[in-house]
Amino acid sequence: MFFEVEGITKTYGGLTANNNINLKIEQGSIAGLIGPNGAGKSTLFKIISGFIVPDRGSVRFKGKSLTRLSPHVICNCGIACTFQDVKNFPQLDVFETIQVGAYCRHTFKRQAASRAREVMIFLDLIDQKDQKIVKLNMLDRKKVALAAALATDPDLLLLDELFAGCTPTEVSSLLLTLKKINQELGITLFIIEHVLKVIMSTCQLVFVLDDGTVIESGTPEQICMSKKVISAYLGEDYDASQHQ
Amino acid sequence: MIIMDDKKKNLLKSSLGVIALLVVLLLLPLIQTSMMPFIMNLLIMSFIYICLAESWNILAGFCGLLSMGHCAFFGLGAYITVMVIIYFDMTLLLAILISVLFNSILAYIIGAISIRVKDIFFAMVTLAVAQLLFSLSMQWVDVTRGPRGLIMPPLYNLDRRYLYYIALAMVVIYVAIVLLIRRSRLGTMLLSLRDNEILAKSLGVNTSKWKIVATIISAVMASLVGSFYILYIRSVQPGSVFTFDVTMKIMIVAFIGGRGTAKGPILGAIIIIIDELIRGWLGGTYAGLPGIIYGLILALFVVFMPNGLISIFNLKDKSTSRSAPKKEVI
Ligand SMILES: Nc1ncnc2c1ncn2[C@@H]1O[C@H](COP(=O)(O)OP(=O)(O)OP(=O)(O)O)[C@@H](O)[C@H]1O
Ligand SMILES: [Mg+2]
Repeated sequence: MFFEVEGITKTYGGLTANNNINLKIEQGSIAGLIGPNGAGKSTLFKIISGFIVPDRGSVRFKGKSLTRLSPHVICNCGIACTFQDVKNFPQLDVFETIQVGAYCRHTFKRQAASRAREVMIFLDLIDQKDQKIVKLNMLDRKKVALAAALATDPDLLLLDELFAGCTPTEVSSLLLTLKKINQELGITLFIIEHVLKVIMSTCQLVFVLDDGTVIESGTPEQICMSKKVISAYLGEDYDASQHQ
Repeated sequence: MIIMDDKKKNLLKSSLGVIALLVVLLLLPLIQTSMMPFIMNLLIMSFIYICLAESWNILAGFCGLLSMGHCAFFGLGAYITVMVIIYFDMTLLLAILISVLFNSILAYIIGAISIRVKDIFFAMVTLAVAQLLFSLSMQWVDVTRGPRGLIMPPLYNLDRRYLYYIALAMVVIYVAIVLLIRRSRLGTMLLSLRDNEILAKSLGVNTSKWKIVATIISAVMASLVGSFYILYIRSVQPGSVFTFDVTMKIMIVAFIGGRGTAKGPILGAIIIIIDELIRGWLGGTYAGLPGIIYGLILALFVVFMPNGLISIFNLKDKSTSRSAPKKEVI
């Protein structure tokens, strides 16, 4: 299996953020992770990328166990991520920020620079090359974060609410970019998203998380029809048939 | 385009300034006056602290690691150099190499035990190590002769002018090293982990490794200054190298010039000249004063000129880009 999460559990004091989570993702696909606020989505991503050590369970990637590896090692194994709170390097410009990611695979400055340039062209960031991140708007900051992650040459890319706060036009343009990343670069995507349009139009497989547990998984169409999902989002008493 | 031209003009201006300054400093020892030894001493002491501040800046400026015991690397460099020469009768070059080796090991140990935990531990551990070395050099009388310190054998009695040029060369090399690091992979890695450690890790940066590398480079740079110090002063006592006063001076030079900048310490060295002048003027009565004066100066600068003297030169750039981040880097 390309990517596999088995029995991941993480508790904070009395709160179970992730409860025995199991999921599998095929190489080359786009998978989605949805769920109400506080369901434990970001926690799962942080466990996969090594920032949080789970209480139990394991993550397997291309036949290798990633459990308890450091974040930078996991990145080296081919899993990159972006954060829900878009992070940046305030003192670095766009080019150097992306170069940080490129140094993951390239020892020498010239190779890292040309890799960074490639990614900038791919994401149409070349005009902002010398800008400090703090001067960019939110969309461009997100694109830079995405570019830096791409520069590490991942096989699997985890995107935590990349589309949050975007206007509809921005959503459409980012959406095209994501499809390009998936189809042209062959990178498997695993995305957390509240924007339903994104999930519906890209994902082949969706996992629904509620209270730390995967309550449903399937194609976007199946998810939409699921009683469990509807009640998780809208409360137990909601009658879906009245609104169809 | 206009901005580029401005940039180029500034670069030209500043490099012309640097070249003029270098020519003056190179020709200075040729002037024959009775004041010359005094002036040269002032400058050599400044050069020593510029180099130490550059070394300190590698950690504070690039990594955000506050070395509160930087005198440890400097003092150890001086002590080991002289000890190897006295007790093992080795050549100067070998003595310097051995002190560099010891300092690298010390830096590795400090890095390995502190950096993995939390950055604040680094400040505490370096402080503790400096204190430990002070006590050791005081107590281990058989080897260090305690408070009386060690004296360099007369064999290595170099001409003052010769020492002046060595120190000047060290300044040029140290500034160049910092500028080079900024442009290299190391600089990018260090700045990334200082700016946002989590993001850096997520992009595959082995933050602990790079911090340890930086600590070793910084320690080696300070160690070489220590070796030069023993060649110049010709004696070393625990009180003259392993005290917080020395660390304080290093930090003041770095702060006053502009923390985290390569050229800042050159400006910051003005404080060393003032210090030496007051010392010569007040003599013995000066002893208790430095701590108070330094503390005051540092406080004033932190409040009124947080970016150091170098910010005067960058003023023009700032007014053209108002939203530029305040902290000037390297
Ligand atoms: N470091 C922490 N300490 C204690 N509780 C935490 C911590 N991190 C997350 N939690 C809790 O774990 C639960 C899951 O958080 P998580 O951030 O994974 O949710 P999420 O699904 O990403 O939500 P959102 O859609 O709002 O981003 C929340 O109830 C949160 O309060
Ligand atoms: Mg979240």
